[in-house]
Amino acid sequence: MSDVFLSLKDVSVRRGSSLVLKNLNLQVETGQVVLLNEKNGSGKSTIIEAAAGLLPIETGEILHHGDLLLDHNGRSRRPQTAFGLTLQSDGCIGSLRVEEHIYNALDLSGGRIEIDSWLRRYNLAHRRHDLIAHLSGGQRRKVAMLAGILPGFVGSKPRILLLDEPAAGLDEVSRRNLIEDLSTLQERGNAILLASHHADFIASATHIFEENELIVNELRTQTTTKQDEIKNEDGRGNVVLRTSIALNQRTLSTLANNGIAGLLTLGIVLALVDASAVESNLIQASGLYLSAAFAAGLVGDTMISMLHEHRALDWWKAHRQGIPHSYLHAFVIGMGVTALTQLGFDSELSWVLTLIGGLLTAATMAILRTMELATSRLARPRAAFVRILTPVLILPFALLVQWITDSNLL
Amino acid sequence: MGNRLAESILLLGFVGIGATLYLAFLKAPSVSINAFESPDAQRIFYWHVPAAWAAFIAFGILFVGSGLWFFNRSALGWRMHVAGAEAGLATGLMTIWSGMVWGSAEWGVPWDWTDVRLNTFGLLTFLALFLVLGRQAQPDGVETRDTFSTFGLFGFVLVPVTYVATRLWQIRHPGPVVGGGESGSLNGEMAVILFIGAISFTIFIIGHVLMSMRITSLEQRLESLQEAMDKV
Amino acid sequence: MTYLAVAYLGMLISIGIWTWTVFSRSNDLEQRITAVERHSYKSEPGSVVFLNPSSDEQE
Repeated sequence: MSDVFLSLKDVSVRRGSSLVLKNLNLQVETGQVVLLNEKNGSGKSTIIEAAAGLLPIETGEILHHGDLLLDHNGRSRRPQTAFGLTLQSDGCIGSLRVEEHIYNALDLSGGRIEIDSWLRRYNLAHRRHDLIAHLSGGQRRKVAMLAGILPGFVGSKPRILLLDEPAAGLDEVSRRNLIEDLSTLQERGNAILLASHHADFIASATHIFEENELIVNELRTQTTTKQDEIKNEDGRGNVVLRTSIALNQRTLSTLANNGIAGLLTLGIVLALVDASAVESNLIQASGLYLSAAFAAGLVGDTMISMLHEHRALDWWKAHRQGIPHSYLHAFVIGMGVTALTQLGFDSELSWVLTLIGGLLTAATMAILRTMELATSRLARPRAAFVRILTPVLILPFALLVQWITDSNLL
Repeated sequence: MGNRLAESILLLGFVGIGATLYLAFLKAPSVSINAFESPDAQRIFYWHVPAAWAAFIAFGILFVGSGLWFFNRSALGWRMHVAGAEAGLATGLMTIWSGMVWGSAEWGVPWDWTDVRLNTFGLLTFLALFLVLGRQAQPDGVETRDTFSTFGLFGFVLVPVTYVATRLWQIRHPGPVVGGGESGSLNGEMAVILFIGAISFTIFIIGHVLMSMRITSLEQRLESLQEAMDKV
Repeated sequence: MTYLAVAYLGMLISIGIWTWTVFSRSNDLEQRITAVERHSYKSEPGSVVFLNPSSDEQE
């Protein structure tokens, strides 16, 4: 296997109306710490985000461990070996606990290590079970930084670590610890691309990347501390599903948004429609019984707004292993409101219709979610008004109702 | 110079539309009373059909512009996208509005949710509304242009679906007037007024697109100037 | 017939308003550009730097 872990070949990236990177070539090999320490606005974050495959590129290609990650035609592949990532804007969902975010980063890398000592080292042990939203900016930064570096200790295979300003807002002791940890990670063979304006990091860098050139760092002073042997455990699977369920159960956001919309619709329908008139008209009945489930789905996936916090969406996207969702909860809510509607009209409970109600809520929510994700690249995704497009769903809904009526499901 | 030309075309189109309305309202022959529930309201058709025609031209420009930006990063393509979306919104709203007036007189309901063509046409107009409002809320840049041109391309798939859908799922909506078979035939005078309407709307939409493209170009010029001043 | 006349007039007025807004947007932008140019390029009128994405952006 080649020693080159990360390779950016002839990469150009445009942001807004300016070309931020132009025909950039950069290779990071195993055991190298490459520091990007040019002044602000020179494109450090753009290089890190491009290396993580987060930005569309106009020319060239990005390779991880010799395999294509992304090219200028938009071809994109999930990397064989997961990488560590710290984004400039943290990338943590506020409603996750500190340990959950770090375990997520580890599980996405395919293994777990014991995190107690790391939390103690960065004075976060007493915050382990706190929500990230309850932390100070500096503490949140430490969580984001740990989520970026700890994958480098997982397993025997070294990885790529992409760290964007990991020390921003960190106290001096933590910064010193981080410099030591970077050296340890480097000794383990990890390839580290580090953006930082802190002069301290020059001490830990093997190379400095300036003006499109990789220069060997003569000022490097290696300062590693002896680490106890790190015990590895197997990672837990289903990171995305686990996070989706945890977030939904903690915040009850799907119930509070989609569920309430469904219940309100149910209430209005029950208040305004004469039950005896419905029985004689099958098409009206199936439409009415499903209207609450449809309304619940039209609210969309509330997970998206949680993911917009601290650009968590980008962190999840970069790992290419799925994005947390509320499908399961939407399905249950859809079934619930459909069953309640039928009971409210004194109708016999049809399990098939109830199941269709659950699927309808989940499918409607999925379409809204896709629309919202399609606008996530915008500078102001929340000001894009994708809901204007929801009338597209009315016709499929009408056709579904027609189909239910024709197939005598009621 | 180009500006004056665009303005003149737009004004000419507007005058033509006024003339069409006048002719349709006062000069067009009355249709057979038996053929329609509300024969007077049928006159709305001189407005409705050319507006729908113009809307399709506008959506065509939107599609071509979106494609040009998406595949070639052409700045002209982006201006066409913006102009097509704005013109599509205007003519789409006109078509829907006039259709609703006619529908409420003829069918007794302004909108029919089971009619595929109504729905898809409504959706195209909503798409135009989304593109116009969404773009206004975003700073100009590749992210904005890529995202909205993707929606523009996606939305255009609805145009052929709309046309074919009329033939396949026709429930209440009349079939296509042009190329729609025997039932779509018109008498001479009606055809002349409809033709004037179609020409007027076409001129109007061309004028509008030219003006709109010019406005986008002016917006970009203003932003360039402001950015240049920011750096001083 | 009356409601048809109202609908017709309504449509004509709204299309008139729309056309007018197009004209006024264009005029407003021209005035703003003139004002900015007068402010910043007194000595070098016409030396406008285009920062738009594509090379064919310039006119």
